[in-house]
Amino acid sequence: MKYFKFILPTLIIVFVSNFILTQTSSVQGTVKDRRGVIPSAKVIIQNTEFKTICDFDGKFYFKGMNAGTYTLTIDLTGYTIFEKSFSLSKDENLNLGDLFLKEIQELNEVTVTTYAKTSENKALYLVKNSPTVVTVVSSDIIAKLPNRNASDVVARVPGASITRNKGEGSNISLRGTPLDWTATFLNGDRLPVADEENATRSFEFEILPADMIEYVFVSKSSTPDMESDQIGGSINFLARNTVQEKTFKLNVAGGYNLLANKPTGVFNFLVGNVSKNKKLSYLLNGSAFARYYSADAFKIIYGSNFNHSLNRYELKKYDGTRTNISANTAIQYKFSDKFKIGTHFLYSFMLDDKYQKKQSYNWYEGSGQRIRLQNIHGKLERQLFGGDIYSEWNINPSLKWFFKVASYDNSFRYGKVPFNQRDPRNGYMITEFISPLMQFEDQSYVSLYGDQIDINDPNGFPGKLIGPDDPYGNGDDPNNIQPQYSTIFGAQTLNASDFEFYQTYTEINETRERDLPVIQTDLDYKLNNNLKFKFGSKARIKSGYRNISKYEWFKDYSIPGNNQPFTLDQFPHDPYTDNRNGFLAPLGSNYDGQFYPFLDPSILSSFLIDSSYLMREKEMNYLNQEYRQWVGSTYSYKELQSGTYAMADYSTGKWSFVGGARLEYTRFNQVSDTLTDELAFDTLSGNQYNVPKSIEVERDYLFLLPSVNATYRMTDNINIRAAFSESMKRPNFEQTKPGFAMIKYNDLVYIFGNPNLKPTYAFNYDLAFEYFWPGKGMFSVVGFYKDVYNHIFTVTTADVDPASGILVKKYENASNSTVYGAEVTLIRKFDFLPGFLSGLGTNSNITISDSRMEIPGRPNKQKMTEQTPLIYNLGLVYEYKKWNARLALNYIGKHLKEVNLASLVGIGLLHTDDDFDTYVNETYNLDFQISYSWNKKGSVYFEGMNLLNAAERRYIGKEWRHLRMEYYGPRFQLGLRLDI
Amino acid sequence: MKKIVSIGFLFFITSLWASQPRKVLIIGIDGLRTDALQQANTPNLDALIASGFYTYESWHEGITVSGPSWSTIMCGVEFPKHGVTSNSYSGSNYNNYPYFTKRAKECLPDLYQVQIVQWAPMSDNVYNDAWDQKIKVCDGCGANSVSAAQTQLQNANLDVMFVYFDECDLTGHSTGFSPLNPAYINAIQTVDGHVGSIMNALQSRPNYAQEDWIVLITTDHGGIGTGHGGNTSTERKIWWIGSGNYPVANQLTGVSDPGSYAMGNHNDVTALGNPSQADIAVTALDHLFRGTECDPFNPIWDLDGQSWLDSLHVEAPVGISENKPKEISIKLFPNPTTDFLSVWFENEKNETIIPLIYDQLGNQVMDFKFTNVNLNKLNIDINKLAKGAYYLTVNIGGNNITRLFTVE
Repeated sequence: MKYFKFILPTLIIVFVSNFILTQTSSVQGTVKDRRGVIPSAKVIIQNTEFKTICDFDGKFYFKGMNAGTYTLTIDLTGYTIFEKSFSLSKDENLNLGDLFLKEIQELNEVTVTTYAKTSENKALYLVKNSPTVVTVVSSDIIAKLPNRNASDVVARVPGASITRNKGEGSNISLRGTPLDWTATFLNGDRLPVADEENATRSFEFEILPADMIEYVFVSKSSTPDMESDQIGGSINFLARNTVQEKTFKLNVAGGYNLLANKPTGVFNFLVGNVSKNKKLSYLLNGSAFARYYSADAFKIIYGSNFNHSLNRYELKKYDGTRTNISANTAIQYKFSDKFKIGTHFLYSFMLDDKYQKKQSYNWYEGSGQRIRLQNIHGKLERQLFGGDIYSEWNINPSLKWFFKVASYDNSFRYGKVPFNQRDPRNGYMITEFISPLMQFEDQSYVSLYGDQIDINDPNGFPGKLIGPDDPYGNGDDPNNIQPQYSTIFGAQTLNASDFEFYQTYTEINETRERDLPVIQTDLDYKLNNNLKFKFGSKARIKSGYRNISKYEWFKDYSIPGNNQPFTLDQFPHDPYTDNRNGFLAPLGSNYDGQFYPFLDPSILSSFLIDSSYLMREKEMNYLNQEYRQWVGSTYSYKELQSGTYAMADYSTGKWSFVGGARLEYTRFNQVSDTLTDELAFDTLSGNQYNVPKSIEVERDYLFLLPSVNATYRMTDNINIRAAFSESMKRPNFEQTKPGFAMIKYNDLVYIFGNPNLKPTYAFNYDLAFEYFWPGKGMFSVVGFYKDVYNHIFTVTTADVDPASGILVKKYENASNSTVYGAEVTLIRKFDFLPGFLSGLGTNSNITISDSRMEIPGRPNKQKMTEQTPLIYNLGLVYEYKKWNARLALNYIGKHLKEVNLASLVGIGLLHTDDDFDTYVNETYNLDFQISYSWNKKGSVYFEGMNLLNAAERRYIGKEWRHLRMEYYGPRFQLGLRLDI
Repeated sequence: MKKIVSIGFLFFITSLWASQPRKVLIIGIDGLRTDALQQANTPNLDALIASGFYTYESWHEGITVSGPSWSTIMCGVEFPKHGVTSNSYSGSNYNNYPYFTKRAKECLPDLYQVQIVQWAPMSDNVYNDAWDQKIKVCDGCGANSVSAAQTQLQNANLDVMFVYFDECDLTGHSTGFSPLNPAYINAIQTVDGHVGSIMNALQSRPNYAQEDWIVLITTDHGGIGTGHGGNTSTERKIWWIGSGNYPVANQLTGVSDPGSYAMGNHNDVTALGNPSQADIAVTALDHLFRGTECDPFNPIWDLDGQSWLDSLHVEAPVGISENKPKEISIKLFPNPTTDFLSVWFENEKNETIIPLIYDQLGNQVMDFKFTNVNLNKLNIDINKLAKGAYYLTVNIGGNNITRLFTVE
């Protein structure tokens, strides 16, 4: 608060003084081209000190001018020089209206190329003339790249890394920082989040198609008018807005996924128009996108916390169809030049119809050594909708008032499986058949710690150890794990008749978050040509819930005559066939012929429903013996966020400064259940149970976040920037959850929330050098340093929960961490090359960082969790005449995910090194795209994505010790784009 | 072998004690490996061992998985008869080979029988079992089982109770079934505490002195790595304890391993006189039926188990404690070891114990203090010993016994 005492009076003095000082004449206008406003153009009044940079709406405003005759110049690469003379009388407020710049028509080039070039240049102007460190991606770049959803757009931004889900971008983080550190906005508002698996505040982008996006602003240093939660930076997606002229665009594409061996289709359209009196403008943008996907994967579950023996090995094959349907509208009505109102509305729905076949080898389990065949089907439904209503009032040329009310709703649920109508039992359905008892013959006799031990020593055990973990050197190649086994009873080979039905269960998940409402108001005041102020506030009420449960079906053997199991041969089943190059082809297709038959996926639901009269059903509720594992997995919350800021923007000569402070207040209330020690008895079912109880917590916290950005425009083409900001990050609602732990059922992990977690905050320092080649590109180097407090990380705390045997994790604050690094960007056209080679260019960047974090109990500081030390993008661009091509390599380095701090009373930490820590391995993505434009209205394109088919990988301790590996295969698409 | 003792005068005694209601408590501890039980600090089980008839060599003859194993324990027949081969309980044949409680109820319809389990499948999937109450408590929640058992034990009419604990098995699955795994040892010790609570509740019954209880405690299987279900000796070597009205304190040893899945003819195995899981149900029936007209060995039932009742239960008010001097045996766990050594021995008379450690040259190398003397066991911290071979000499009541052990 001590800052506030200082800032507020200063601002009031400045504000009041403005009215005391007498004004003379002023001039204003808006810079446009035929497509709309040009943001950030530099406007100069010749032979005067008056020069400025237009705002994002293309507006400029000079005041304090004397009467006289002037010439205004706008010189922007890609456009012919614009000059306009005007005369100004005393006390006149002249509005020049719209100033249209004319694009250069290069003789030898088709308009389309230039047209695109100017749009990219617009993005570069925005970068160059921004008061902060930003990167801008414009819609034309978006259209040129094989982007499917909005996160793919950002993948090429320096320092951006995206996590992928079945080959599609999902979350974005900047500078390799943990996902939750990067804030993503749509039209300036953070969106609510409702993810299937992860409770996070990081928006999942699968649902937001790239075609809805006009501009993307990536900011790595913050200004006080931006929402907080952005230690890593922020990404603001601006949805397509209203148009200036009649517009119709169409994009139709068809493609092919080689791994799925299935087609893909895209349909996008955009219509927009403006009324004759130019007062009403609108836009409607629709998108439909359907694609098949496929993935080959394996997963390893290790046995214990003492050695790396394998407990379970799963071969997994995914096949699915994803369908997105989205619509975006924008309407604006201009009452006058001074006042306008408008609205945006977005609706987006995604259905992921997902099938999985999982064959797992179980060396250790309660049912003995067996092979399990799981047939999985789920319809994953995501829905996002919402919008805003805003008004903008230019009270006078110096004073602008903005007001907006927004609301968004994001939800996830599993759809109609197995029942074809809404049913509380519907969920992600797993149908499991098991083999008879097996005997694995590929184990080595080792000690509890995985070392050699005498075969007669009763303290040893047979463990399946891979690679160098096997102390006798008999470990399988970790990329080719081949279980060796025989049956204990009966025939030595297994047939469909040998696999018996074990159970079907559904995982139930309903997750929803709403922001209702979000109210924002901003006041812009321009004191003079050098000094501007901005004040504002934003408040949001967020509410959400997550309901996780399970429902089970078993065959009821107590029904007379029903004591024999269903066997696989009694139902339609398929021998496992692979219509592709073989399962896990990049690893050598080592599993061909080793798959057992699976139940026909098309009868999964009918199998259950038709046999349900022979089944015993079991609901997950307080009477279930396993309810303790699930009781904490349902929660709800409400949160109030309110931010108020004051900032000033001062520019003089070559210097400009933006600074101020934001006061961010958060109060949340969260409810989740736990079981009390109080026991009750249900006579009907014979269940003794612990009486559940809701635990409610309420917490609040307040942050004052100062920031300052300074830019020194050394020459017209060189910027040197320095920035300091304090930023914070709110914990997510799983992290602050009261009550008992959440269950991660598939990983056999519990995670306890920690309502007393403190929000993470950081002091960020940035220093940047930028060099611009006008119209040709830029080069920049940015160094950054972050001093982070209360970083939130996941730790494995106790060895196991004594009550259930499940691994227990929880969230902790780290005391102090640091992250520092540098990023280098080069965007350059190689126009110095001769002839057709002059069309070549590059768009490349690299981010290198290092981090330190203190981990309680570990002797040394180590790298911070979830911080990626190396990220780079290498892009080769070719733009020449009617051709346009790109080749882009995106690399994300390996990084630490979670630390294993399992400890035991009397022993302490089991692992003081990282051999049991979890890592995400490096991954890379190579995309290629080529398009041919026969005129400026149409083009055909061909794109190939994930050409190298590199795996998504995780490992434990050592790179070869895989936890899971997943291949998505390359995808190809041929498309047609029309712009009428 | 012990059961042959004194069959002659048993019938004479029976008439004296027939008036006391005969009752059975079975405590099932899932997945408790024999050698880990011996290593853990388990005063309550030790007390039952000290007064009971027990064996560490009841070789599992079937499938070392819970569903089949508990079915064998409760039905008195091996899996080819009860039909359960996996935890799905498919193929179950409880109509022809039911739980012993069904047989008991058929003949003695007034019996009040209760089971308290944590692992739901062994309640949900079992039918034709004649329990008067089938109580389920949350899985892994030992304290809840104790609480439910305490409530039931207040019922004066209770005749048969089965209480089941899952903690050892769950911990073994997640961290390893190993006597070297401290988490597993902790789980065993926790369950031992539960056993103590139940024994207290049992002995606090108002009419306890007028009742004739036997307590049978066993496990369904051992474990290896983080699983079980296989054929190894650590999975198949199991244990049981039977404790009756008067101290017996006998260990059944020297049982030869019949080999797993050697199920061609169960009666052959039984004929060897080996203890097996199926004996629990038969011993319980024998106890309940003694002195009645009911026949615990009805040939129609085709039972595989045998009764050890006469070895753990004395049908006389005074002990026949003319025990011959026995050879004292001791066992060491683990061996080789790294930091501590558990010494396990028979010390019925609670005599003073003086342990000494010598190196191979005969020098006394450790003047240690032990903190944990139980009736039958002590844990020795040997952290300070260098690697090598040593001799442990234990003097019990003036007899010296020496064993070799290795520090790694």
